[in-house]
Amino acid sequence: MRFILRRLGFYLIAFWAAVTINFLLPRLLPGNPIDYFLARYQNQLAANPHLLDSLRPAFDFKHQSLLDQYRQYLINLLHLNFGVSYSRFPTPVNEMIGQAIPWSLFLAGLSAILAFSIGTFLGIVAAWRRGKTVDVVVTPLTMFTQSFPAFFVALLILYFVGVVAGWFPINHAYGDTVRSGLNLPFILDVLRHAAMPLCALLLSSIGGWMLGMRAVMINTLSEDYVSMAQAKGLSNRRVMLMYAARNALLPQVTSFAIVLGYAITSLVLIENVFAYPGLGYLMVTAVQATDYPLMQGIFFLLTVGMLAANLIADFVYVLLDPRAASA
Amino acid sequence: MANVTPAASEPTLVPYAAGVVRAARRPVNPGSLRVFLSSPLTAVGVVIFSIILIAALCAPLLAAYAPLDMVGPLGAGPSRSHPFGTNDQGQDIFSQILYGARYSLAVGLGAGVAITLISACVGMIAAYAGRWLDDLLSTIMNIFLVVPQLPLLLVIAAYIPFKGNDPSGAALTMIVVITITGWAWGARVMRAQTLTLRNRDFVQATVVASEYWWRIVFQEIMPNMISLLANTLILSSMGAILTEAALDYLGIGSISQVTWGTMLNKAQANSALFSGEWWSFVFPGLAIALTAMSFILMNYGVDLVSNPQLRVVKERRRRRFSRTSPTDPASARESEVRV
Repeated sequence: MRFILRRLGFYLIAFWAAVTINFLLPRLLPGNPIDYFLARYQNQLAANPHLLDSLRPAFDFKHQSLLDQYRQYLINLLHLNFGVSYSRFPTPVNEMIGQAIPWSLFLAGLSAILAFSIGTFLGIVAAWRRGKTVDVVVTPLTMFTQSFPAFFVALLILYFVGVVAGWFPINHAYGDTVRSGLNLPFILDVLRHAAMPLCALLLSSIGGWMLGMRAVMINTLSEDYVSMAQAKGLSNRRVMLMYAARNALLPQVTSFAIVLGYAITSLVLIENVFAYPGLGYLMVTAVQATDYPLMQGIFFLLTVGMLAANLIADFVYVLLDPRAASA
Repeated sequence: MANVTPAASEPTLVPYAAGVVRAARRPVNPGSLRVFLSSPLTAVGVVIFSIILIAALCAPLLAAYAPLDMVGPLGAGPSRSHPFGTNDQGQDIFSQILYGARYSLAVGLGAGVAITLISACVGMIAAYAGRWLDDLLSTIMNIFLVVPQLPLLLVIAAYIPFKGNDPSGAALTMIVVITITGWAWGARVMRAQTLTLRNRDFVQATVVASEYWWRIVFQEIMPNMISLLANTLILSSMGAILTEAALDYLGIGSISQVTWGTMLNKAQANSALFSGEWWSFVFPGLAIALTAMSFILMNYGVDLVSNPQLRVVKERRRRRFSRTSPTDPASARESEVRV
């Protein structure tokens, strides 16, 4: 319990720090974001001067005291109010983020589950049959693919599978011809559009899971209880999965939180390669268009997501290994 | 490998610290270089890295054209006068790759050195000072580790004017930004390593001899961290090169500079990618991948020097010590020391 409370305390501090960075960055660096906004919407604002009065308190922060701004900023955050997008004014940031979240969750969730299961399984087999076919072929191959930047792999897939072979649609999450909703053509179309980004994500993440599992599994195999299980005459599969792999899985759970950081990075890049309308694509579009409210909203969300995932990983770890709680 | 377990709760969480051993007190000897180069993989890494380094240093001599001049047909494939082809603006891709190497290596090595220095200082101070200073520094490190790096970079980059025309200014900004967001991993590994070294007998002996703290840190602890420092330098340089390329590819870094990332960005933005001009993105992409690979291979060489367990035992010696029959190739392979 003390362990969990300590971790909770840490995540609260981390949350506060991230929120404060998000608050301070625009204020410490030169330039006033509202200037970009005014320049962009000069014409509309000239036609409707009242618009500016209502916006000023939200954007033109350089005239208030820093403490007042900070209080206002925190209140807005508590209400999950990220303001209004600059680039697609006056769409609320929440609405734009809301449209992007499902696509990112779909892509990231599916690839995480697949990469974890395939990678871990390959790691188990490679360690169990060390020096045999799977180990000799797959292990160096993953080391090789790991040095390939994720976005270059994605570009190669995009070009050779998408453009040259033309097997899959090269961008967006679904085509113009299908009606969105829960119907079969739409679902098939979504899957076809997700195929290449998914493949790129898998290639960039399976290797890590596999090498990690292989390393721990090799250690576990030299434990006495594994020899004991074999001495009892249990089947190889049972020893491999129920005795060795089960115990070797533990560090994989801890590394889940670490891997998530890399996963977000490759998700952002790969969504941009395929113009896939998720959070990463939206964020880069926001940065290019100097759409500060949108950008800050997504950064906030990704940080909260990462903290939550870390917290869950801690919980699961304590559930699986009670020794961690007393450490 | 079972000897890693005592401190497993800390450093083994780190992906690239897996090969780090808690080194015995053994200064770097002249044989290290031989061991470093004994592995063919590492030798390949050194050769690739040297080629890229030479390309970067001698870019103006080697490049046949200025990187931004229109010197050939638009979007032509590889030919004798343009070995890597030309892009949509008639610029020579081979010359651009050479000049891009300068920028990539400058940012990569610059950020690598900065990250290594900062993480070594912060990590060693945290571990050696202990108490509240350790708590404070560890909390800061961990905060940087749970904030997603690329989104943080994007937010920072959005407020910083990268878009200047001065290449060294752009590179310097990039180095600073990457260092700020990327020092925490190294610091955490260094801290863990210092903690284990601190309680070793030879360090305790100097503590008992009431040496100055800086003497203990720099003369007793530091020499035992050389391999870890080398790992950090190599891997953070590689990380910086990949991060810089990614930011440029996204069109957020130094878009007016000739870099490998910018070349990829333009290949896609000008839809060279969609009209079959594979040379416009395959060569810059390969340049990034090969550079990254050379760093990984060299890192493997550092692990070979610092961790004798990783070395494959020579044929003659293995036969003498091996219990298995040398005539059976399968069991002979198994008896090699592998990790």
